Amino acid sequence: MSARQREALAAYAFLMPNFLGFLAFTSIPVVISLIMAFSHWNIFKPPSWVGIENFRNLLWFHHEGKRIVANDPFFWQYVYNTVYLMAGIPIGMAGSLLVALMMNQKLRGIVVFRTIYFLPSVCSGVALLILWKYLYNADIGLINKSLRLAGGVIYSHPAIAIPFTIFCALLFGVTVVGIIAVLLVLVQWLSAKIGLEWQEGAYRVLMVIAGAAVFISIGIYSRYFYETLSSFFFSPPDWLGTVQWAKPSLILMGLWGGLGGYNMILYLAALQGVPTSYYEAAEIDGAGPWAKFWAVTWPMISPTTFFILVMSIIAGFQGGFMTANVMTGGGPAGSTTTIEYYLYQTAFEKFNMGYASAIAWFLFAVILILTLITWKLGGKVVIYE
Amino acid sequence: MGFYPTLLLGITLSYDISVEEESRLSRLTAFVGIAIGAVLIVVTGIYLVATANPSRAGKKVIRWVVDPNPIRKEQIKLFEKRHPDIEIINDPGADAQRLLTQLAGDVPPDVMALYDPQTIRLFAKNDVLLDLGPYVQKYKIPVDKLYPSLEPYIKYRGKIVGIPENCGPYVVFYNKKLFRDAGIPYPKPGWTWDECLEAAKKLTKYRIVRGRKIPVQKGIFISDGDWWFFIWMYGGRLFSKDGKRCLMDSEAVKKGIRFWADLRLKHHVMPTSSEAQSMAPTGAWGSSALLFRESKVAMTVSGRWLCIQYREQKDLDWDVVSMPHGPIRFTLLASKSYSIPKTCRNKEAAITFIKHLLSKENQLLVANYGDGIPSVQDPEISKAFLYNPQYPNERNNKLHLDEMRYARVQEFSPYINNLDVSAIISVELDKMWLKQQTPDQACEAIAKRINAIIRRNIANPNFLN
Repeated sequence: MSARQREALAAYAFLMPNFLGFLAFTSIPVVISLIMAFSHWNIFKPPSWVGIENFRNLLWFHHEGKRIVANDPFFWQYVYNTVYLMAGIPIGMAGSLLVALMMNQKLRGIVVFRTIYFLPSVCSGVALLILWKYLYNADIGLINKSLRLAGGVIYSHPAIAIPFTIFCALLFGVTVVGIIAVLLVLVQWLSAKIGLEWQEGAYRVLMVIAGAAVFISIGIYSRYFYETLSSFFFSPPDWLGTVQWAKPSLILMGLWGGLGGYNMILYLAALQGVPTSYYEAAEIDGAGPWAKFWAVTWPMISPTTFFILVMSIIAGFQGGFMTANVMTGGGPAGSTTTIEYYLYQTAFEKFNMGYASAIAWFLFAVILILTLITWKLGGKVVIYE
Repeated sequence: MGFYPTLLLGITLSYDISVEEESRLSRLTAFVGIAIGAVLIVVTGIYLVATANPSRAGKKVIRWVVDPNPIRKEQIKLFEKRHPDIEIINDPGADAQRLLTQLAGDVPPDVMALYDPQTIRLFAKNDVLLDLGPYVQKYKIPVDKLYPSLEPYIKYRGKIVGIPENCGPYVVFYNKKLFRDAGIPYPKPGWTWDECLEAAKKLTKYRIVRGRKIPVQKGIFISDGDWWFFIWMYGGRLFSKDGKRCLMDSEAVKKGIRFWADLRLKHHVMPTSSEAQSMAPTGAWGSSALLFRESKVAMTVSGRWLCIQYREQKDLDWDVVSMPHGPIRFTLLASKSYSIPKTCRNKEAAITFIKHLLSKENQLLVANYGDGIPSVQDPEISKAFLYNPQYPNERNNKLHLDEMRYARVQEFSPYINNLDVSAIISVELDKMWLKQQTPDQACEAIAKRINAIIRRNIANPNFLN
């Protein structure tokens, strides 16, 4: 046996443990779960082949009188919950980038700040969730206590209440106008893609109209705005106890942990990998900080953004188990049950392994399709150096 | 390629290459081989230990899968004293998921606790449980002395599959001091829901903080999962007798659920889940017990097993009274059954242990500990149960025995998984508690959703098989 062959054999020997582990604990279960998805198996008795019945019960609809009803209405509610909770992904990514930009400054003691921002990622997940559960408590939670305290101070003094309400109204108005602006940019971009060029100045005119409409509306409904705001402070919501607030509360909590987590580290590494010569060249061309960000930083870190986006979508579809299990029990009224938690309940509480496998394979198909779409679209936008 | 060839390959390579220049590589390869070998030995060892039929120095060892209640130690001690040839190991935690994993992994428990008729039915239907009938005759186990209302915990299709050791009808625990402070006479057995509501109103108190009403004491706590009292309150039922139809949309059930909703949403005598969390923020099992222990609620609904917790709190002055009733008097019965899997390797020892669990000594031990009431109807056991000199304040134990006349177990339908039923009821009642729908709408939605699943399951031969 030649030295090269021995070396190759040694390499295979090194690979073998991982390969065997992958085969035993990943590949074989994956194949078996695919077979299970077409079977009925309750663990007690051997599986029996049922064809597409599990998928029909999961995804199909039937008539009830004149109405069309899902065979499993729970499932579609949980799909909606899962997608809703993924609304935090773009906000979280933008936040992570912002934090990474701040942490990328050459300041004294910046390492301490980086550690602080990364701390939520190394803390015990369950402990954090219990902590948040108390923070969100409607009566004794820190958030509601602070809101009531602030409300008491602000709304008992008109001299503070009126400027505060105006400030909040302006902030609200600017946010709405900002969202409209982003939507219009998207429409403009899509129009250009299908060959419809906008008249010059049309964007500005539309923005002025939108801005005027938003602020006039706020002016007309100022009294309502004042009352809503004051009641929000005096009677803050039951964050985890109401259908309207449970999901936004979980998104907010996710942002807290997500901003300074692994995404920030990835962005930080990407930012430190941008060659300084590009910035120098941009400065020579007269670019300011904003122009440098858009023309140099953003394109250079686009592969990282793309990676984070794909991974976040995958994690988003596979998430929600721990929060549902520890914080909400999937409620109220199933409003925080995600596909993953439903899969767990189906498999390990109802022992309906075949149906749970069908849910798992549906989830896999959705993630695969979305990843392929993202890959296809992202490939055109991402710039590799 | 399996583990052994890999191990051999690693060792061979390390031997060959050790004479070459790449000695570092060879050492690493050897480590990989040794590591795999070690893992293999450990895994094989664990498997052999787990699947072995244990016996120690001529003793039979049996594994008892049950909750880790501190009394188990005393029960085991008592049994081992009587049967020195058998050793018991308490394997704590008897949830269905854990039991199934043990059964599927061919490491079956010898004796296992099953906590509700639905689980017993699920295990029996799937042919997991040993038919105890022949053993009952052979060992003269007094099954005929068990309370007749426990039948769903004992039999499946005429076969004896479980033996309940104790049981407990639901009663109302009330805080005597809070009743005295409010100037209300103590409730009497046989009281009605209207009387209970009047008392609960007087026992609900708030404090005002910056113009906000904060509850400091609520009249009564009833868990959100205890819907049975209100389904049955006016003579309603969850399922038709053949189990083919859910009757939640009947007027009798709607009326009961309306009353329940009013307790919280109209009269505010029952804490919302958020208020309960605020008043005793444990968020885990026992929250209701804690609310009562901390005098945050004046009354709570549960079974005798809560005595174990309340006895710890010396300054808590409490007593029990029957469940309030509407036009029909009843209460919910809870129990747990001990079963033996068919694959059990120590059947004779296991049945000896189950027989011991119904013995006078064991029954008295359980009764005195504060757990459920003895499941065996025996004058001597009942007499001992009525008064325990260690707890002289508990003079009302007779109530638990009297309430057995009105006790009934949860309903279930063979045509729908009970967890589907619970999930649907929870979700729709949640909407009711959040005022997103009226009690009538909730009942109709529950009936509609459960009936849709029943229809689908009846039409599906795979479900019925």
